[in-house]
Amino acid sequence: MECQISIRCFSKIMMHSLKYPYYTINGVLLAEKRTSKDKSSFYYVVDCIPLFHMAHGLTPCMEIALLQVASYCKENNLIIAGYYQANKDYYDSTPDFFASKIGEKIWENNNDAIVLMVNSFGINFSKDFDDPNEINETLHVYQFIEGKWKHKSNGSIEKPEAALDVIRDLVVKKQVHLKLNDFDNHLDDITCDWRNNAINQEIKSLEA
Amino acid sequence: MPTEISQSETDPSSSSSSLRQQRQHQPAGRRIGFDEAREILQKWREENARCPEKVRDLWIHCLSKCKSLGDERWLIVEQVAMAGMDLHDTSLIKECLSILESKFPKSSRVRRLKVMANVEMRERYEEALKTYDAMIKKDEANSILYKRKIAILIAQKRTPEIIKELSEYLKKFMNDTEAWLELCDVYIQDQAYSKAAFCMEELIITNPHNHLYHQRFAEIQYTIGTTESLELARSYFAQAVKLNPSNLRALYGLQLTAYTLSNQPRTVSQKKKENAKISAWATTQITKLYQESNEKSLPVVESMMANLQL
Repeated sequence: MECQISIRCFSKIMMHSLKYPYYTINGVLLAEKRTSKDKSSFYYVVDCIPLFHMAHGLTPCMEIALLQVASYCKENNLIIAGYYQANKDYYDSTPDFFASKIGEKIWENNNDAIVLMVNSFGINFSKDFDDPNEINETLHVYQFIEGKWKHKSNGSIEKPEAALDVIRDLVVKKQVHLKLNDFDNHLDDITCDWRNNAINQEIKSLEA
Repeated sequence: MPTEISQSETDPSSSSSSLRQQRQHQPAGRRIGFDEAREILQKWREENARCPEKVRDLWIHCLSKCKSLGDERWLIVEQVAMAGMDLHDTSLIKECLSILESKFPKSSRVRRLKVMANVEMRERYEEALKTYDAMIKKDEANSILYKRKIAILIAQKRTPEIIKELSEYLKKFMNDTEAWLELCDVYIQDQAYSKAAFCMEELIITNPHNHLYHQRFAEIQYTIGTTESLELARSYFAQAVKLNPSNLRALYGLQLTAYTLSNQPRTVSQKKKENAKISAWATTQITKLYQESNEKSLPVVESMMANLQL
């Protein structure tokens, strides 16, 4: 299924990967199903939940996190629409063994789920973009086809120009990304909230 | 980018320290005094913390013009140079290296920084390896030089060689906990879980009171997932909780492992009951921690617990 990525989801993925540039980071995508003008349905990825930057490849915390996010989705009428990951290796943006496995687990529950890989190479938000659509290249969409994750397209970000402005203001200027909490932060300090309501609000006020 | 193996990135004991730093992070607009900046940087040096943006800020705004730092100045300049490499800030690297070079023209420590900045960062890895080999010949006890070589292999993802070099390194420098953790992580990425577990066992022997080692060992066993390893995971999670009752990872791990064990087919009912009891106990402890912190996400946790009910 086609996916449109909201500004909130996009900026939080970028913040997560920029907060921990030398770790492999991951999280899940939360979406609602929408119908486009030509009557085909698509996922609008409303939000993402940043999960981990440590212990990549071990399962217990991941299982706990997915259970909690599943409950959260149920309460908020959202669907877990996929998984995102940024590798610690700057030049490598392909899904590793663990990304494929976790993606598959999510796919077992939702056959439309995608894996989104962050393409770190070339992310430089302080430069001038000739075309704001270039930021779509920072995300690679993988779909599960015949038992394998295959690179299908670049991400499709809602209002790329506005998204770019949000990143410039919150990341480049204010360094808000250093305050983003993932599930690892929550496990270290129970008061760190992985829903990141304060950041969601800041993004919202910039979007308007 | 040079992969910095001597950093804390795989060190579970640094997990909470990274948060302590975060709370220390100054709200925008508040000016940080000179002494405070110095203390923060010193703390990060001791913890091997990696927060290059903030190091650069402190340097530019508080410390670069300061003349009264004494000998600490050189340590700080080295730290800022490393931050510069993390940020690919070439002018900052240049500034720091020229300060250090004019003070210590013959130092091998400064030379190593120069190789990192001028050779490794430009990805001329083979040349860097040769230079480090030559430097090791003159200074065989310098562990950092060996680590640089391993860091290059990591950057090149040459897994079999990383394992070989790290193992040999650990024969020479057996007490290097960071290196054991790095080797453990390399094995996990390679899905060689029993070898990863072995590394953690080594660390538990060197420091049996570190709850994070027990927790990590248990996480590896849980990932292996056989009944036998789940039972191991349960006892090591339990030990981690005993050593630190507020270790949330270990509590969740204990709850999950005991729950999984209580649902294993072909288990005698006595064992099932025992595990169900342990899982319920962990649930109570987790709930208590959330209540004490007034954490607003409690409903989410409760509904997850309900799904895990027996």
